[in-house]
Amino acid sequence: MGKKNRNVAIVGIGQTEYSSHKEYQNQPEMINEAVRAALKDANLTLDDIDCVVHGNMELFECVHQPDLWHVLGTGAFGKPQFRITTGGTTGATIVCAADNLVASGMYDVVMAIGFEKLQEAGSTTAGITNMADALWYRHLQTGALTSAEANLTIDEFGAERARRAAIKHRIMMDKNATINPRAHRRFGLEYEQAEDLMKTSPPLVGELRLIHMCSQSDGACVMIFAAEEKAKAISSKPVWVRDHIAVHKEEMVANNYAYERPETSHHTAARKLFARNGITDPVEYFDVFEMYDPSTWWGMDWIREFLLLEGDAHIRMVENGDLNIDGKLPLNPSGGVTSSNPIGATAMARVAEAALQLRGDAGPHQIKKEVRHGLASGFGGTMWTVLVMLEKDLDWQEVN
Amino acid sequence: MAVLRREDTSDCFVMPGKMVLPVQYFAGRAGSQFIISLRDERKILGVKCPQCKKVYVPPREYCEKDFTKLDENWVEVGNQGVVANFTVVHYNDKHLPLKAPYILALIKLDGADTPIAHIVSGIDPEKVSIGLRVEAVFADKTTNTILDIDHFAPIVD
Amino acid sequence: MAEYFGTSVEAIFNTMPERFRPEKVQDVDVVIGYDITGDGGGKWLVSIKAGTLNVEKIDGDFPSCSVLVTAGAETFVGGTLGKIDLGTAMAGGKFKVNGDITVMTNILPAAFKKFKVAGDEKQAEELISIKYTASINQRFATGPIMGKWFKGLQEKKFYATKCPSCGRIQIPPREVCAECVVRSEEFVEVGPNALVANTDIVYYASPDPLTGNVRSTPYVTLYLWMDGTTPGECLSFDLNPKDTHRIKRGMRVRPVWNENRTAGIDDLLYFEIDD
Repeated sequence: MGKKNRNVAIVGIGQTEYSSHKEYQNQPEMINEAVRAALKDANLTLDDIDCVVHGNMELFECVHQPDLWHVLGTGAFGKPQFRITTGGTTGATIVCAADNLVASGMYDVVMAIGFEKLQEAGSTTAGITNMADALWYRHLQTGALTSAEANLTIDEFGAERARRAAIKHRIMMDKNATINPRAHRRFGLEYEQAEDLMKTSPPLVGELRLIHMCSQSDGACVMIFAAEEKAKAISSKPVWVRDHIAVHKEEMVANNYAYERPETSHHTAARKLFARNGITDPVEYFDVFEMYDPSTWWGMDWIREFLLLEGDAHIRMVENGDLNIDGKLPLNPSGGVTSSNPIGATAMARVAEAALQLRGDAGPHQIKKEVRHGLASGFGGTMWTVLVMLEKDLDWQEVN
Repeated sequence: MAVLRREDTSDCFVMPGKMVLPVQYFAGRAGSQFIISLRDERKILGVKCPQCKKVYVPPREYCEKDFTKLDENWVEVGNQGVVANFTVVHYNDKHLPLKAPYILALIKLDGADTPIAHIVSGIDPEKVSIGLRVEAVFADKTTNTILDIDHFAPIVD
Repeated sequence: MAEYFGTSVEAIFNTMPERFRPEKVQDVDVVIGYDITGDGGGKWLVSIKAGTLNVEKIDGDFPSCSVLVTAGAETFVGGTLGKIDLGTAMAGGKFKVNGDITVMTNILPAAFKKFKVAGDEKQAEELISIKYTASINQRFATGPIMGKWFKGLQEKKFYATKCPSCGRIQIPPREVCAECVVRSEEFVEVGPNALVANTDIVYYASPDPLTGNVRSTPYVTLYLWMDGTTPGECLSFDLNPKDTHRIKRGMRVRPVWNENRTAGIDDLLYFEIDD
């Protein structure tokens, strides 16, 4: 038996612009903007939606049961609605849930909503710290800010090469963001600024500087999923959800920086997902990878983890420009998470942006060559991973 | 059914914890206009749906049922209205706005189709009833919230 | 005079005395240098000490400052008015802050009323926002495993659990080994010393989740391989502030205990270099 009861496609996508300030909208109003955009994109009305899945990261806006009062904007009035909140992975977990709800046969058309107003979270770092184990790590953690990954990268490749690759990687992301009209931070950085940024960007933690860290953004992302028959009727360009995987590890985030590092959840997820889909060379297979990269140092290391690379292969890809928008495997043509991070929407925006690339509708940051196979990742909590595979054509062979 | 064995609980105890979070909330354009009008002009505003002609208080940008845009049709509703339903709060908690007992009511303002929740004071909680006519009593000091109406009081004829 | 967003750099500094709120900064002693480049720019020195303010336009080099701000005139004015997002400008290297960043994030917003362009007050659309700090008291049950850990700390002992299947020794202890999915029944005493596997020196002043107050920086969080545990397990804890600038990965550290121990996280003050 296959992994799915029936095939599922993405038939509508709506995103707000991501920005640091949205005083002019309250939460349901901001969500509503993206909901209307997604319905318009799919050429559907609220009547066509069978079920709504809604989520963000708990604690940030400090409002209880937002799925209830957000009905003002979600369109879930009188419909089945689920709320999902799994930290940073939320947006991608909502995608998994919507995929499952449609694949199972429960609903034909499901609308998935991820949102966050981080400006309303007075301090993202305080919010994240409060989510740590209350008995121990809440007292010790500094949100998601860490230099531990940078320290290890520097150990492995030398300070000069590591720092240079990291800043080059960051500038590449900014170059992508600068041409994405929805991206939050668009600095217009040039590679010539690398030297200056390495020295003058304010340090946050150790080797992690402000320029390396993701933004705090406001925004919403909405996607509409439909079963095969409906999807073909609704959209001339459905994007197929081939497979997804969600991997959690133990809650001890510190273990990731133990003397001997355990296998990361990213590596586990990629290893299992590619094996069961018969993907032996992910760099060769995929045409776009939208990765949840909360910081440049993490993002750079995770290229190796997700693509199952070894040694300095990931650093070489950065140095050679293989991950540029016109490179071998474009990484985050949207500008990624260091450019825009409305947390509850972030991981969904990875899937949405990859799907837009497959449709050829990404806009100014569309990859020039044909995009047929997409990969998108979510990251959250104490090393959790969601990985989603997208296909332009419904022609893959199931591998068991 | 599996039965778990009794644990040795000699090392189990309860530790105090705390969670502190700085947060803010944005009312948005429609919400701001509602609060500013309350605060500066002591007028209560709603929006009227061009489709179903209902008047919503507090105002909202879009109708949640069909996404009709609402916030271009502002209407002023009365500062008086009727108690549509109520509950009497009988317990004290530091998070509550008043000392118990007090009345929390749904008040349908004259000209509005939806009720708003607020406090009714100036009447014995035993004597409040559905249909009681009440009037907004505005606060002396603004908090930029719905508490710029301090409470509703029964109308004395 | 060059104008940006309907006002000038000069106007922002000239209105500082009338916007100053001495009552908010009674205990503050800071000197802030502003190097504003471009048309209408210049150098200013703003000193706040014991509730008094001195603003001075200077020539030549800056004296010693708590913090030195370097920005273009347009960025500075736009940032002051909220028309340009300073976080973004800072990350992009267009608004540079050298020195104690908390002066900018915490002290200045308290010390001055917001600058407004003259005659512009009514034109701006007012959008309501409310700010508050949510504070919730909680109670957490330790359960037998973390209870044993905290009672151990009270006796200056570190208790880890040992997996009966793979043998790994987890710290803080855990009821099950999630890799083998078996109960870890056996406690073993480990430490007290450890090897520093990784370090985080934190400059970013984030709120303490227990109090809401801004943590004082810099501080160091250690990732430790405790003696007697398996090398894939890690305990994270604070470093004695005296060692902040000496700590290196691979060093050995020892625990420093609180005199008054109550079976809580405060029983352990921090680790320090074992030399």
